[in-house]
Amino acid sequence: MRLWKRIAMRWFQFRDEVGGLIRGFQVLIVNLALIGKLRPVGLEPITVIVDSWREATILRLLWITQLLPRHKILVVRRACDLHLPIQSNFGGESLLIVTSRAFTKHYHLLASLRHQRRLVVL
Amino acid sequence: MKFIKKSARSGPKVSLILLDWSVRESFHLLHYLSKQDVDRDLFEVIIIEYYSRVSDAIRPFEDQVDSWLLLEMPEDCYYHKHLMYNAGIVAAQGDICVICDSDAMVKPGFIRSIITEFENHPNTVLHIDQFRNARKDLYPFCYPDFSEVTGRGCINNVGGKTRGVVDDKDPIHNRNYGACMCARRDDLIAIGGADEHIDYLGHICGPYDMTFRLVNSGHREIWHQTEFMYHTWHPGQDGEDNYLGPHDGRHMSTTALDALISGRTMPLEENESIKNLRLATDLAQGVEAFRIATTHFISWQKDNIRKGKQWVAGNSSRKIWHGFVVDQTADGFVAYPRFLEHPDFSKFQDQFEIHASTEVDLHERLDDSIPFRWRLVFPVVTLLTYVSRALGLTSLYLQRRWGRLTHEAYT
Repeated sequence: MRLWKRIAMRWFQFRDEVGGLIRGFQVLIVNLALIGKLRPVGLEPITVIVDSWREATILRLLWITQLLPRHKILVVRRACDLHLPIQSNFGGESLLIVTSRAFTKHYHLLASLRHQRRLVVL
Repeated sequence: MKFIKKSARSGPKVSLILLDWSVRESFHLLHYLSKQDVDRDLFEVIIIEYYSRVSDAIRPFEDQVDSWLLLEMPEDCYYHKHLMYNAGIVAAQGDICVICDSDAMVKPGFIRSIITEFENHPNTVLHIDQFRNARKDLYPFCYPDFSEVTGRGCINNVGGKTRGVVDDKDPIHNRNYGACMCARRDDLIAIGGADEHIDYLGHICGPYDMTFRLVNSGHREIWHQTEFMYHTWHPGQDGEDNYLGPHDGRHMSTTALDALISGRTMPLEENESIKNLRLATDLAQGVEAFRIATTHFISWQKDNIRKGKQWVAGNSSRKIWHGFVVDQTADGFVAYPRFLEHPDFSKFQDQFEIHASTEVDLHERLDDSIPFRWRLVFPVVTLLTYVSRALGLTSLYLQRRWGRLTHEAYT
């Protein structure tokens, strides 16, 4: 393959991948904010499962600036990090919100959780 | 549709479905299937050709082929692998359908492993990963030894297993979902077979569409830990210059991922013959009556999916706008936040759903409904994501270069 074609392919790959990341993160922000509106303060906590420290940092910043409701963040980089949230006694009645990217990466662990816990995939 | 050959094998357990769309140069899998350590009557081989070509590459192994079907799609129609999967499922006589690469190598225990796995775990969908070798001197295929494929030039050998199988960070991208997928025929029919939606036209497709929907319907996905396929380099293996449907940037169909996320089990567009089998009507017709929707002949036409000189991705079934899911309905368009799909929140549907007659109107209404400070956040997030991702990829590239340099220095 010619060099320019390879460069173009890599660029499209980068653009599409980052575009998907951004769209997914927008969905998370908007949905979290709307869920926050629906849920009065003091109700069961929200736990958000994301797959990158970047997303976790931005979410914390948005919470500090009071754009998002209070929530706990779990960063799942590897399947073993999910050991805790998939335990039946984890977080009691907390609402688990998982990004679609984190869900699809570890769906073999999370798919069954959908029927057992209050799990929202965004 | 035309049969070159029709299976005379009675009661096979496994049906291997191999595809071609007038592109395959080699069907050497058939050579390795002739060396299996199980009774030959336990499996059948079905070849599905999308167009009308009678491939010369199959001729040397013709004795291994049980059914050979030409779908005779018009030459001006782009290829859709899912249509071929459905034809294979309808034609299959075996209890287990295996959709796999026809230009890969397998060891003599390949079929036995599949049968054993389904005997031990009946309610599963089984995948077998593939070792890939990038050496160009192995092309044209020269029947290398298995150790040669896993040795020098192998891009995913990690201690005798494929990188995808041992990976726990991003298995969905590191495993080869298209290499080999095995599922019970009845289970495939129960989920409506492969999805014939236009999103899967061309290179962005695969049996994982069915895997995800089988998982949603309660099946367990298993990746074989000891059995693998072995693939050597050939030109055009990455789908270069192919039409690409909507994907996540790493050639994984976003429509299939969306099915996984939403828990959908049925296809967006079901094949009529599969539907007849699912509803147990028209059973007597058999594969001769495999039906191809006439609308496909128009919507899959190359001219309709090519604008100017470029292939333009088909309209995704679902779009995202400002974090809202945008769906097309009979009355127009509807946008809603994704959490409404959860049963606990569905009662808030009226509160959050936004309707409009056109997509442009809907975007305007969405712009108005979203608070200004949120809209300010979006470009910041976009910038941060681009910068951090670019930095991440640069550091990964430098790490790899450094690793290569130090490796060369030591050796």
